[in-house]
Amino acid sequence: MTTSDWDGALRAALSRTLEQLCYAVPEPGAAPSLDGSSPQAVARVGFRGPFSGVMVLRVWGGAVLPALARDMLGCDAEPESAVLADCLAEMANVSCGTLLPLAAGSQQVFDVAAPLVSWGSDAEVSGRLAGRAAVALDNGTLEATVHLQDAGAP
Amino acid sequence: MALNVLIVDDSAVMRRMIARALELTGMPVAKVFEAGDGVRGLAAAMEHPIDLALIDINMPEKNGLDVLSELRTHGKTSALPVVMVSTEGSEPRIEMIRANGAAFVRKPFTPEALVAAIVTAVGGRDDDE
Repeated sequence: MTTSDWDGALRAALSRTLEQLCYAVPEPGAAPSLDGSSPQAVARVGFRGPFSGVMVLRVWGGAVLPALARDMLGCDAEPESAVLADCLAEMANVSCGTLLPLAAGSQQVFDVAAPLVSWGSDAEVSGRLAGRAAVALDNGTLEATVHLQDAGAP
Repeated sequence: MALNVLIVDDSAVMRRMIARALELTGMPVAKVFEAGDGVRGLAAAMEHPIDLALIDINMPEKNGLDVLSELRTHGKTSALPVVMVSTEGSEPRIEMIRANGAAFVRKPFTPEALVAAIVTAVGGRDDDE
């Protein structure tokens, strides 16, 4: 796959996740990480299979994650930080689960690790940056990147 | 008849979303039991009178595929209707789930997709009885 293919698959996976899991309407956005700014929150999901790597989901904008969490849960209350972390982890998990069949086809089998969430600093990720996609929401921006170990990578 | 439902998922948020989706379907639910990992899920299935189990795959302690296999080997739960609720996108793995007598619905799901999977799971049990 070319970088453009990965970008497109990431954008499709991220948009589908936000639309169907969070009932959000994302628009294509500029990637804030290219400006060197730090995200509010980061979730990373490792995967192993015909090729292995990590998908990283980053959030910019302090209000965007609480808004997405409220939509996911169907509640008006301000979510606690543990709930926000759980929501972000699930968004990353679903995005990665949506991405892999788009990238590798539905006959390939992957093992996907539990998402890891961190606050206020970017993730240190090894592997080749294969693709990047960002979407804009009312309150901020979400950016997804995928990093591959080169063995078996498409 | 209202069903006792067991939801097994390591994400508390996803357990709440599944329970909410069940409400939205209008399906008669008597009681919802929850477990945050496969070990607790198996224990809950043995302990309580469960009519339907909704189980994630990627979980700590014991994953959902192992839970499904163990449910099928116990007399009390061997015919329990099970829906695997997962991000899994691999057709070979989904076929394995179906071959083990469970239905499958992919996250993210709509209430309609959840109902369809539940009907498949419960229908499968009726066919077996």
